Amino acid sequence: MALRADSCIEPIALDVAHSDRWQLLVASEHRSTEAELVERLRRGDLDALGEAYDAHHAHVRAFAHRFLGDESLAEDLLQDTFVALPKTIRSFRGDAALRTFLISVALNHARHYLRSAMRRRRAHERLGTLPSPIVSTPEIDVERGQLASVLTRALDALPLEQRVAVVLCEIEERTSTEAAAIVGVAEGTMRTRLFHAKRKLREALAREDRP
Amino acid sequence: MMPHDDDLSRAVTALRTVADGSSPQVDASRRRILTRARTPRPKHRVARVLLPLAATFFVVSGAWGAVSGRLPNWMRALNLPLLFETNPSEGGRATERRAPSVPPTTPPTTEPTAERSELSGVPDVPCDEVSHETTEQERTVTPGNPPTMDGLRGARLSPRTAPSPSRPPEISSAERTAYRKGHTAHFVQHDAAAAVRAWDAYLADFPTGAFALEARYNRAISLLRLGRRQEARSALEPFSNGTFGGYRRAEARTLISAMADSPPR
Repeated sequence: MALRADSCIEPIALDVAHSDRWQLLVASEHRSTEAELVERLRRGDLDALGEAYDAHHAHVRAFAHRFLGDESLAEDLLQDTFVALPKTIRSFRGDAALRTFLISVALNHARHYLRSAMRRRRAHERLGTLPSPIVSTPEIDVERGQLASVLTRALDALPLEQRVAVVLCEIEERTSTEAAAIVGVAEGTMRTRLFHAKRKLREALAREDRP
Repeated sequence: MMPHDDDLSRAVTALRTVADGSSPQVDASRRRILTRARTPRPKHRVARVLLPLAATFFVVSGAWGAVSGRLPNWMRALNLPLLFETNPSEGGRATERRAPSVPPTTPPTTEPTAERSELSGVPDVPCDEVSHETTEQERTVTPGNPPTMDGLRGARLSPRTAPSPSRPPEISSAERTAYRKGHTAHFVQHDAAAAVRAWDAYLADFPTGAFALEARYNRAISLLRLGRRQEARSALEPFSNGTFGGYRRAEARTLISAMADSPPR
């Protein structure tokens, strides 16, 4: 119920949206409710699992989809991440946000799914069929879908660490500090990986441009 | 800005927009997650039961294979590296096998059919390719006479009853080379005359060597192949009368009895 308290105070927050003091209060409220949620998750409270899903599924799903480039596998990864949460939460020390922790859990599970996703894409390429649609809704324009597919294929050619760096820092727009915390490496390492990854991606996109 | 920076940022934006975390399956996934979290996964329980059972099965069958002498055949069938060899005629006791003593092409432990016919009525018995440890104590036996059981017991039979794989036997390269010559002549070239010469040379240089028993037995087989029955009988007698304990005792007895039953050609 803790997160619902957040939604209750939302209308009031709108009135004083520019108040720093209020922002701090909301943040502190959020932290305390999150700590409570974590505590309930640790106790194996399934309602807490549902609340964690409601609060964070979109972020985890987006990360999974961006990382794997495959919507159905992303859905599987999302489920695995949340099903494992009551167990993995025991290793959560509370020094990062729960959302960040969930992304790191998803990342650990993602390695297995990534191989399947890449195999699937390669099979589609070999058979000359269309890859599994990265765009699931018809509203999204074709060009964007194609661009996303091109980038996903270029990501497939990167080493795993560099792929992680691009997805977290470029696509998800996380700071290198946060990305480094998710992966568990030094910030400088993350920046170096991103630098090399971007160079390779530029080259890959340039090759795609050539007729 | 580099020319392809635009391409990259457009592609990044496209992927970010396309994979925005929205899905028509939000509620269905929530239900599945909660169901899966509620239901204990039977797979793990099954694994917890099955894995120890499977491990026990492999350990027991491996031990049984080693004792019954079938393990090397399984290993060969599975194309796995053979770390030790089992001598079936010795009740399947596994004996340590050292890689350097094995020639590049390991011949079969039994004779080819064509060569068996030379023995004219003498039953087939495997020649010995097994290598063993030796000790200084063993080297005190007088050359020329077969070493007694007492002389060899400590060095030869103890490692079988209490093998210590952590301590490899110390065998000189000269001894290995000498044994390898006999082995090649006997098992690879199937040249009985050359084999007898090589086994004699080995036994002259290393009368109490690590492979002295094998060399003596193989020499007897080679003599038999050459039709030198009397010498073969003399060579086999120490084995048949138990000078070397149970080592090749049954085979030697069978061979001697077969020689007595069948007249020389």
